[in-house]
Amino acid sequence: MRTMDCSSAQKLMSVFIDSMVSPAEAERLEVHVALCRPCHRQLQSYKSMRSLLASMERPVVPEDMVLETRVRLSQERNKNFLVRFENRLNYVLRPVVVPALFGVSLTMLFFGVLLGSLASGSTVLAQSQWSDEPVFGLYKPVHTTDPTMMAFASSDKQDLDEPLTIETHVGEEGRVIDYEVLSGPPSPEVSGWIRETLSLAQFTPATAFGRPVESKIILSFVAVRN
Amino acid sequence: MPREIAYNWLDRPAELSAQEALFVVRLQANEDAAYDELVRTYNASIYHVAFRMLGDAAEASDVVQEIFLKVFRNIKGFKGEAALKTWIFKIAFSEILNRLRWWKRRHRFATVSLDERPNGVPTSETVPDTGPTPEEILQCKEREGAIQQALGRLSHEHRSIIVLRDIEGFSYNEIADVLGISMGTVKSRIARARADLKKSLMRYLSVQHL
Repeated sequence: MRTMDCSSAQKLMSVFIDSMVSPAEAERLEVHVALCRPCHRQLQSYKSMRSLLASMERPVVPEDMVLETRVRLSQERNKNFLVRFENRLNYVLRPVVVPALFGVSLTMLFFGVLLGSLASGSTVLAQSQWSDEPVFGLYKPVHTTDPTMMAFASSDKQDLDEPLTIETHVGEEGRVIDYEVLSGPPSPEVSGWIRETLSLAQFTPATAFGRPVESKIILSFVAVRN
Repeated sequence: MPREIAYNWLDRPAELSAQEALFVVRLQANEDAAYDELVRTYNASIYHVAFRMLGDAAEASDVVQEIFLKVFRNIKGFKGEAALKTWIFKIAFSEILNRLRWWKRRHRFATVSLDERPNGVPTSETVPDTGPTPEEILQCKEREGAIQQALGRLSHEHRSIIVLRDIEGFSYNEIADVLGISMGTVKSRIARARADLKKSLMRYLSVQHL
């Protein structure tokens, strides 16, 4: 067996006390230190220091540290949980929003068509438009809730192929003074029907500062068919 | 009381056991009980390392909390290449060394009072009626203080390796993983660190002559 010099022995001592040398190296070192007093002392001091360090008292962990650690960790975890929940919600909802909106729109459209098809016959709807009289402060425009107009609107005798628009001049008493057909079918039948209906119609006259005044109202009739 | 430190020249690298893998899954699932267990299991050893490295109870306490927060923030990224303990101490040493560098930049030096126990409680308040005599306690405190001061005089690199190996009993492979250095560097660095430390602690070492 080859002998070991002091320099090599000292280099090996640290790993030797940790049992990190091969059995052959360990044996050579042991032979050397058995014969070499300075190296023996050196090895002894390494072993003694290792024991000294291993015998150090473990510091007592402060109780408040454990508690504070738990609290801070809990806060951090909950904070993160909220953020994660929000992200997850976005992640889940984002792909759903567009189809959901599409579905709702489709449903509304479907019900609209369905309700339209359930209605029987032809219905004429009257829509009043405010005249172009100035609208300000104490001015109340002409309007109507006259059942005659409703009867007129629900009549299915008239054959309106195109929308009918009539500009109507309403007097202080709420009666039609004059009218002009702005657009609509030019048939005599429709003209007669307009004349008959408007002569019977009763409007609530427009008022300015509380007093009834003459005014104009545009009436529109549209045929809705199924 | 001296602790048993395992020494084995084969020094196999620590791997993630099935039980530990399950524990990691629970941590990654943010389970309350798992985090309680994590703190219970590791707070003492991390605090001990932090205290030995920083030499200050309040700083050690503060850094331990930061370490656990970092463990929580990074647990999703833990892939199990090493044991959980190694991974946690890697985070711990990164945090502790950052704090030491921060101190160094501000020219602040830690001092250890011989009147204080390691947990920061004055000795006079904790001396029990029975057990070691006041002289023995004083000697013990003096020795502990001298070791802590000697550790404080070491470079950060040498102090880290002494704390991990000789105080906490980590294996060479674990040290290599924790400090991110090769096995060869672990061996040479620990030899130099011990040689440095030995000079400061000579009066406390008992040497039997041939």
